[in-house]
Amino acid sequence: MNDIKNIKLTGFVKAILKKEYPLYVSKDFSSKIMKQINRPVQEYNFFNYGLRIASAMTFAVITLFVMDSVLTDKIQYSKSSTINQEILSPTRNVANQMEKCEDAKDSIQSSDSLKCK
Amino acid sequence: MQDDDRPVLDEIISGNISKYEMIINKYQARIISLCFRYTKSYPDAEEVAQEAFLKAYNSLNKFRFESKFYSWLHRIAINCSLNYINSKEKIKEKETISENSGLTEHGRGSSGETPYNAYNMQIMAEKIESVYNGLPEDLKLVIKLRDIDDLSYDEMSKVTKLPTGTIKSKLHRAREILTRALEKYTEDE
Repeated sequence: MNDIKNIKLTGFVKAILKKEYPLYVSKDFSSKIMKQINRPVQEYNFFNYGLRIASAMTFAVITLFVMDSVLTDKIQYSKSSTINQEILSPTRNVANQMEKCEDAKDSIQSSDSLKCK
Repeated sequence: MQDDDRPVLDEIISGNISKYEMIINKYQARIISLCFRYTKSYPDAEEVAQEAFLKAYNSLNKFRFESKFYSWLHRIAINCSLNYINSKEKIKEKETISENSGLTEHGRGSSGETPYNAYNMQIMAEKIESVYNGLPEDLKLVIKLRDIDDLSYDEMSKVTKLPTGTIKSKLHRAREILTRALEKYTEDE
């Protein structure tokens, strides 16, 4: 009889003689506990933390790049006239409004500024 | 205070983890029985006992050997059982449990059925009692003094007026007879 089995039986005998025994005991009771004890503990070292931060940063950069390319209009502005040029990307008509326009935030807006708008 | 478990525990503390299985095997029946007094369900008693053994293992470095290891483990098991009762009461407060389901739960724990892959302690107890009653009086006495009354070898020597060596050899013989009687119930391992 091996050591473990002998100890188990001696334990059962003592429990029975002391009238401190349950109706049944699972055969794998001790092995279940030993499995939990022997389970490798995840190490939180510098390398693991660095790897986590690097993967988070990479994910953030890729997300920003995707969002930028999907959500932003690719409008090209040019100082010269584009009337006779071939248009390759979306355009928006803009006028130079710097000349007579006043600050739109002014509480009292003159008639000129309204016109300008 | 002399503790029979000290050499094994010292080995465990110094890194021989596998020796803890000896401790579990030695006390599992008594600890599960203790937990059952609180849980009233065998599956739950095993779960709580498991938690108690794990807690004891994790706190082994803090154990100062000022008491016997079993007394310490016993206290841990009681605390785990009380925590179990408290958590169960909290769940009961949240849930609406019908009277029938409560009875079913209690019945599940106290039914005499032995699940597959478990030792039937009732059958083993009947066997041990009959073998113990059939032992010669001198062997029965040493078993009673040591395993039932928890006397030290010195105390046993005073009671029996026998040298410690003789007591140890009688005890060894008696235990061998008793454990051999249980062997056939664990042959499938």
